[in-house]
Formats: sequence, C-alpha cells, structure tokens
Amino acid sequence: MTTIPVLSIDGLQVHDRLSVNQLQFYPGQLVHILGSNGAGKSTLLSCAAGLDADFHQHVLLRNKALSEWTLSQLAQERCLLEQGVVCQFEISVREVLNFYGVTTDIPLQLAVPLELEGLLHRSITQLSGGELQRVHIARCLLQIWTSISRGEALILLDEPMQGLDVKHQLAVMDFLTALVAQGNCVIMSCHDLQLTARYATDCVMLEDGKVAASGAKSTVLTAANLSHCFGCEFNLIYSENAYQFYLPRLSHS
Amino acid sequence: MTTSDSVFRSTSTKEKPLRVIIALTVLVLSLVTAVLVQLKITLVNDSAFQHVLWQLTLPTLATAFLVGAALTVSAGCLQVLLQNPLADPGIIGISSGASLMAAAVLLSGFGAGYIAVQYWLPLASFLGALVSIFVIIKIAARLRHSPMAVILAGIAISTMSGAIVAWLYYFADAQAMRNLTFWLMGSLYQSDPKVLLVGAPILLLSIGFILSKTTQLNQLYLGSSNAITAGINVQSLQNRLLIACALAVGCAVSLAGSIAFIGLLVPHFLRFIIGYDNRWLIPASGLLGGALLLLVVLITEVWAVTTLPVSMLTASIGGPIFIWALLRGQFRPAGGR
Repeated sequence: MTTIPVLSIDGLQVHDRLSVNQLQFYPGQLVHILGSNGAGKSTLLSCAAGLDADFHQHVLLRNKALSEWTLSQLAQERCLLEQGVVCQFEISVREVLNFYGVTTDIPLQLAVPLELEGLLHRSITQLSGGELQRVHIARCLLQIWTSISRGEALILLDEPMQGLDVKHQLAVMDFLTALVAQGNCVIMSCHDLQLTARYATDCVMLEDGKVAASGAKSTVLTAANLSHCFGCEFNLIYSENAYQFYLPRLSHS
Repeated sequence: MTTSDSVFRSTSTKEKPLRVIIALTVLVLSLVTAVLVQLKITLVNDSAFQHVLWQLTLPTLATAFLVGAALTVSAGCLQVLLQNPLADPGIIGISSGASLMAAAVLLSGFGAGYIAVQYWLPLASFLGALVSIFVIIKIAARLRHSPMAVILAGIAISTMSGAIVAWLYYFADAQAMRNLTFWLMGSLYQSDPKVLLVGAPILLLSIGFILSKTTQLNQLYLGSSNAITAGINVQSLQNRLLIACALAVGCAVSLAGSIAFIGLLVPHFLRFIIGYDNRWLIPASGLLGGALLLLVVLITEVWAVTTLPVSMLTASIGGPIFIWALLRGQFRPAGGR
C-alpha cells in the first residue's frame, strides 16, 4: 500500500512534556491515545493540530510540514476538540455552530447521533457538562464538514467521552466509526479501555511523554502493556458477544 | 454523504437584525433632522442660520454621531477580545489612560491653540488609550479572563490615572489648569470644523477597520486556541483590533472628553434583540451609540439651557443599569455556572 499518511510526527520535542520520534496515522484509522494523567496526550493532540507554531516543522499533514500550510487551509483540513473550553457569553448553541461551522445548516447525519435538535436554541452557559460536550464535538466537526464529506479529514479529539453518558458515548463512537469508514482519520485520547477495545483500530500508548507502544490495537492492547502503563494488573475478559476487554484487578483481592 | 441534504435549516437569522439596522438608521436620520428643524425655528435670520449651521451645529452633530459610534463599536469589539460581556472603555480604564495623557499635554503648556488641540491632543489620547489597552489585555490574560478581575484592574488603572492628573494639577499654573478643567468636563460642543477635520477620518477609519473584522470576532467567543484552530491568526488580529480600538477611543476622548457606560450598555442591550453575531451586532451598536449622543444634542437644543455635559447624562442612566446587570448575575466567575 502506498497511501500517504494523513498525519506524521517526526522528531517532536516539547520541553519536559513530550518526545516523539516517529508516528504515522493513515486514512481509515480510529486511533486511541492511551496513557495516565499527564502522560502527554493533550500535548500531542495540540501539537498535531498546530496550535503552537514552534512545532510546525515536526508535524506533517499529508507529507507537508504544518509550516507550509496557512492557518485557514489547516482550518479546513483538521479540527481539534479541546478540554475545558470556557465561554463568558450567553451565546446560543445555534450561534456557536454557525460561527465556527462551514455551513449554517446542520446536517442530520451530525444532529441525530449528537441529539442537537433540543439544544439549538439554548444558551451554552446553561447546558450540562455532557450536553456542552456534544455541542463542542458538533462544532469541531462542522468546522471541517466539507473535508469530512470527502473522507479526507483529520479529526483530533481530546477526551471526547468526558461528561457523556453511556448511550451518548456509544452514539458518538458509532458515528466516528462511520466517519472513519469514509476514509477520515480520527485520533482521540480516551480513558475507557472498554471503548478502546471495542472501537479503536489502532492505539498509541504514552508514558511520561514517550511512546511506549504503538500500532494495531491487538499488538498494543495487551495485559502486559496495560499493567506497565497504568501500574496495576489487568484481567482479560471475554464477553458473551465475543468482545474482549480488560478489567483492572483489585489490588486487595 | 447520503444524508447530507437532510439538514436543520437555519431559521432565517438575517431578517430581524436587518430590520433593527434599518430602524436604527431611520432613528439617526430623524434625530439629525429634528436638530436641524429646531435650529431653523430658533434662528429665523437666514445668514445667522447659515453661520451657526456650518460652524457649530453640523460639526456638533458629526462629533456626536462619530464619538457615540466609536465608543460603542470599540466596546463591542473589546468585549469579545477581553472575553468580558461588560467591558467598556470607560470602566476598564482606557478612557482614563487617554485623559491622563491629554491632561499631561494640556498642563505642560506644550503649544497652545489649534495645533495643540488638533494634533497633540488626539495623539496623546491615542497613546494613553493604547498603553492602557495593552496593560488591560495582559492583566486579563494573566487572570484567565475573569470578568470581575478585569473590571478591578480597570478601576486600579483609573485610580492611578486620576492620581497622576491630581499631581499634575498640583504643579500646573493657573492658565493650564483652566484649560484642563474645561476639557476634562467633556462636551460635544467643543467641536470645531478644524479639529473635526483631523478627528473624523481617524474615527471613520478605525470604526471601518473593526467592522471589517466582525466575522473573525465571531470565532473568538470560545477563546484564542479555538480561534487558531478555526484558522485565525489571533495574535495579529488582536493587536490590530486593539490599535483600532485605541485610536477610536483616544480620538473620541480628545473630541468629547470621557463618556462612560454607553459602550457597555449599547451592545449588551442589542444582544437581547439581535443575538451575538458581530456582523450585525457591531454595526447596530455603532448606529445606536451615535443615535444616543445625537439625542443628547437634541435635548440640549430643545431645552436651550446651558450645554449638558454628556458624561453626566450617560452616567446617570448607565450607573443604575450597570448595577442591574451586576445583580442579574452577569459577573460569573470564570468557568463557573
């Protein structure tokens, strides 16, 4: 296969936070970034999005360094969901989506899994944590909707599952899986190993700012890797419908 | 995408703002007409009418509209840049920074007459406004845009500027002191065609620049890193807009003294009617701000008493509304709900 990587990281060094030699991400991958708190997941995602121009040389979008892209070109190719976005304005959800989206019409393909309809007229300062998270996911995806429709987008999500209930977690993951099937590439950090086991195609495991393991899910998601990364033992469980997932072993048992 | 043609259509969000803009334009024009009609009634003698019209009334009308528009447009812009729905050049200390520099020029006795008023005052006010704006933006970023902290920082800057002006008074001679007192009170009736010749283009250009950046301002509502992700060069946009705001506020202060609260109230009030889209909100704010100061001119003309200090009127109305906004819970701590 000679598909070019959507995103490559090449010798990225962020002082005291991250040190990544080589990482490549391809169309059709749904990558979960795993690691304990402070392992560098958010830093990796924000560098990949090109938020800090200092690192543009070491991040390549479709084999072209970020420094060769303009900010407005990048805005059409990739999105980034950040954690802890604060807004001081009582702005409505509809307005937020309009201001940041490429289209003022909200595609049903997006509105249905994220259940946006009931939220559109509400002020974003009055939403619950999970509702707000759905709106931010929708905002990020709408920003690159043209690119997503062509199946060429790079979707970077920092803990998109935060605040979502189980039903919406599954709805969002199913939706992301559908986007990946069209050729888009999703890279997200996630703390729920069950979701990783069920949905990810590939994984990157970070430990103290370094890549401890990366590649196909089956090679990365092993009991040995997990216990090394998170410092506790894991049991491999097979569920009735043949899913396998890892359950942390209680240290006192 | 198979389902991409089935969408939630945006329920026409353009008609209402458009109607508001038209209504405001009509309001501005009728206020101007009312002032002119009033003048014609007062001055039946035609040559006197001509003289007053060109030397006094038209410059006053132009000053009133431009100053009102400049203050509200820059306030609307600063509110987004500072992530603070209640920012106002008067409240956060930008006007007082401008006044301080202007006072320094007046008290230094540095050139008298038109040259001083026409060139040095606007320049000094601009520099004062610029310095205070950059101090405020640094403080705001450091305090993570907590609205209350930004207001408190503004009070600190105002207090310091006031203190320095007081010290300047202490060392100034009698004539310079009279000049300063007269100027600091601020009035729309100091306007003079020659002074306006310098001020008006600066105001128009800075207002025009801010209006040309309203689409980008919309993408700053969720903070700078989301704006960068959305394709905006935040640092450069912010610097340019801050300079435009400093020009607008500095020039407005040099023309009419420091006028508080309309910058706070006008965009805040209009958001209830037309929402947060700056493409409509900021031009509408400019029109309403201009209309408010034109109304002050009309009231003064009709009453024909001594000229009313504008700040007195705006502060009398603005103060209570400000307290109301406070109690309504506009000042939530950053990140709080």
